[in-house]
Amino acid sequence: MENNIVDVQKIMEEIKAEIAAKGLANDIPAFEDTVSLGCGSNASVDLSALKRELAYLRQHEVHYYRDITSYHPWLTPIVRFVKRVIRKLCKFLGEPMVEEVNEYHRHVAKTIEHIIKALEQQPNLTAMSEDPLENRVLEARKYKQLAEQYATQCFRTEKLLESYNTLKSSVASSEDKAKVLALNIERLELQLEILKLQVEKDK
Amino acid sequence: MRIVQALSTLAFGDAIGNHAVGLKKVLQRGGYHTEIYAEGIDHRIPKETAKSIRQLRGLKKSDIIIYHMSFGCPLNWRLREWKCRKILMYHNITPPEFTRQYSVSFSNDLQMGLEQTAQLAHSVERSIAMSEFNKRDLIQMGYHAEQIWAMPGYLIPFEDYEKEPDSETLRQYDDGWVNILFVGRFAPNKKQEDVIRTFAYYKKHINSRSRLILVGSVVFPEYVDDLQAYADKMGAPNVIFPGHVSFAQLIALYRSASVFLCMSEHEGFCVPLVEAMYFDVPIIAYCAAAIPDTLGGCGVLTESKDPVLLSMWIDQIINNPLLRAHILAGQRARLKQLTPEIVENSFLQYLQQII
Repeated sequence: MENNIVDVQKIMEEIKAEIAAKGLANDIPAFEDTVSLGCGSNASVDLSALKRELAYLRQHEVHYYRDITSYHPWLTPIVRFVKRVIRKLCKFLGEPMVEEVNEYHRHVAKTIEHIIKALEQQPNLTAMSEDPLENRVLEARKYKQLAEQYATQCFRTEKLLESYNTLKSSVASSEDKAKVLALNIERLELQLEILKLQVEKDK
Repeated sequence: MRIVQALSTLAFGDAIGNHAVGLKKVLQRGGYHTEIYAEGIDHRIPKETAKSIRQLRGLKKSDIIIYHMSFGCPLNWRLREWKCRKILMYHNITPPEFTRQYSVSFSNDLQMGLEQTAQLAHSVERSIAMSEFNKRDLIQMGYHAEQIWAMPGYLIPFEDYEKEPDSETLRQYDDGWVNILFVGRFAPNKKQEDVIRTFAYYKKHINSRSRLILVGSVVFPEYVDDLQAYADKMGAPNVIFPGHVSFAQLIALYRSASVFLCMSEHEGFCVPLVEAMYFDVPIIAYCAAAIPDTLGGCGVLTESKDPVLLSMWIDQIINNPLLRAHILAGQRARLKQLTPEIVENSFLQYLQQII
């Protein structure tokens, strides 16, 4: 706390002392840990918002060429020239990447378009977007929960696959080690037998 | 010589819109030939207040254009084309990181606004920053400190606050409960979730006879949904979201408020803080962006968001009359520095200096 008045600082100290003495601790979880942010936890399916996002995706493309400028009071022409040269030199790398990004966006836009079409073909869902009745909201929430569960399962499967691969590689390496060990044992046994034969011969 | 103002959108009831309209009146009183031009004009604003930007023609070199910058839009580029003296009035632009989770297009516009502001550094003759924080922002973007004037505050018509409060709202909330208030549009930079978190602790452990009122227009509906879900999960039943309220209702809410709790992490000025000062509502605010400038040493400025600490502060303010009186005295003193007369005079003085 910052306040230049002495008594406020004193109150601050008293509050801190009270918190320490009583052992008070925050038991309210943070916003980020409680709700899935950005999903509109209570929101119903909003087709118009989806269409707006689609329109935005369709309208906006990433461009490799953009306005090159400098804010330097007197070096501006030189800075701009150098920046142009750098841009030209990096063109072989930047342009295909930008094109790939745009291609990716086009695919995303197509996907969203398919989703909108699919939603519009289902009268219940279309009605839901226009008339957010409680049971339909609940239905949407169920779908959302299922999607979340599916995502969690996917994530777990991925993790399992990862650990399986790790295990597999460690087993493979263990097998290799065992083979080497067996060979070594065989070699030792042979050496032992040779030694035994030599001992017998010496006798 | 004309002194005109231009802005992208002249909204109804928002700080920038009110400020532009207030400046127009000041300029008219100062004997200047003036007008407001905007791309979008809210239909609730009287027609004679502003004209369409398409009607902005015939600017002479000696004319002055005051351009309000608060968002990214194509109109911002046109400022370079106008052949007259240009003053950029910087209201600040919210960092796009705050809103990206809720709207990519919105945050892209904010990003564009920041880039445009930086690129206009050498196209404008002077700049007016709406706070010292905004001034520092402009300097970082390449503006020269000596060409920036930090205006003491927004032109807030205090006489409007003397209007009759909504009696229904007063009756509803004037019931002996502790009313914690925050006013500000629902946007992630305003951090209403931190206000809810503090309230949830306060209600659970300190005073169950309390409610939280979050007033403001909805910018991101999903954010409001998330906030409502959060309040529900926290078991804080008395979190009220009245949305954008009428002016009479707003006055009633300020009049029945016990504490004004602001946890915002980005503000270019924060007019509601001045409103809270006007209505004698003790302020507890998180120390970020322009908030320390606006408070100017009054209220309780916190560098912590710990709900326990903040709840204890609320409790102290409610139950310690001496502390409450002390805070209110500080707020009243600060308010005297932000009166419309002071802002108006300093603006006219500044204009006389530069003309």
